[in-house]
Amino acid sequence: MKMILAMRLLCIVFLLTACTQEVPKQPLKIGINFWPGYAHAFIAEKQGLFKKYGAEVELVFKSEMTEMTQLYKDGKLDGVFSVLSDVIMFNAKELPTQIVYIADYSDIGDSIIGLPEFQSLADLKGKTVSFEGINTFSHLLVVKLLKKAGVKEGEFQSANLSASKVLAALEAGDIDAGHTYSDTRIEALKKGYKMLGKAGDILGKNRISSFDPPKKQ
Amino acid sequence: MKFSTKLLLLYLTFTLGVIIPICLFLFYTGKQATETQIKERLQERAEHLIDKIDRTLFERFADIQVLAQDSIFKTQYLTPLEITQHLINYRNAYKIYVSLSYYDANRIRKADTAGLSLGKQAPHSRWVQDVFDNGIVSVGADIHFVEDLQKTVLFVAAPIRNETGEFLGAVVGHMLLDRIYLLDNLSDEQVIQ
Repeated sequence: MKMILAMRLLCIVFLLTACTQEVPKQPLKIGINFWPGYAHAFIAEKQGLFKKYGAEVELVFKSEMTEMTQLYKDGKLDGVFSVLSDVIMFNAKELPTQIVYIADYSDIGDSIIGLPEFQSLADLKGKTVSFEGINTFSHLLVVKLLKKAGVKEGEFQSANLSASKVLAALEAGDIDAGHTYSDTRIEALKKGYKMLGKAGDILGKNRISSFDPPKKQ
Repeated sequence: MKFSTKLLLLYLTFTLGVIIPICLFLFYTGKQATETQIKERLQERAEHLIDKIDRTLFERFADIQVLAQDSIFKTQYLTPLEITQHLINYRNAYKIYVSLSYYDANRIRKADTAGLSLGKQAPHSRWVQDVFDNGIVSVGADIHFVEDLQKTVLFVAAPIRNETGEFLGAVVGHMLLDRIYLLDNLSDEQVIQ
């Protein structure tokens, strides 16, 4: 009788142990790229501020915005430092995304850099202008800025090019102008290429860099 | 024999002879019922999804033909800019296409809503074969990664002919493959654009 009782108790202990086994907590993976306005996230990580406020965060650095966005869409990232228009697109594509933090506003950071011979965006009629990804913030920025300067969609040719490759494409003569940011923009200006338009020219400061949705926590 | 041993034997006999067979019976019956339910559910979902894809492609088949028969493409001396503006209006109305292009009879891209690859010849692919070689509408027969869009797209293309049946070129719609994946999550009303 005692043996049966002991066996039953042992079973209960095993069951309780199985029930209380904790699943190890995974850190939130947040995609981040070369935008200077996101720099404080790295400082927060270095100084342990995420941990201090109870968040386990792993910053996943990607130099290309498009690669980072794709990882987020594929579910390999829990959040991403992104832009407002891309957040709208995520939601339109059945990827529920919320803005949880506004990291920065863009004014001259996002610019259209062109060959030195151009005086303004209006000179780009019939020319080739690059943007980073179709139906993205970059595409929208180029279309809106050119429209404001009187160059409608269809009146310029396009090239789908990563922002970091704009300088090389300008030098190779593949494009006449292109949307770029960060160090590529600074390098291009140093080499004498001209800033023809900037994000701040449309709807004030239109780039809202955001930290999208941790779905886990 | 001790009473406790007798009790243990009685317990074991009862467990082996009655409880275990009942449990096994319930387990296999439950397993079979669950399997049948899963199979039926998946089959129903697959049929529903195929139906949605079928309807989506049929709508694309209809609207690309309407676009190809538009009299604007048959107008002589029409500039690429005018064609582009027409395609942009169409793209804005049918938001399902990421871009729309117009090719002349020599497979040269003359107009594109995104302004990409203008003046370049369409590389040989299934839709080119369907439209330019066989003169038929191509809907969903060709899906591949497009370099200038940096996306995998489904091609919807139709030949443009004048009143005498002379081949003038082709109009091509690029639909993102994501749209097909999305169909699984959309309701019937949302599928119809």
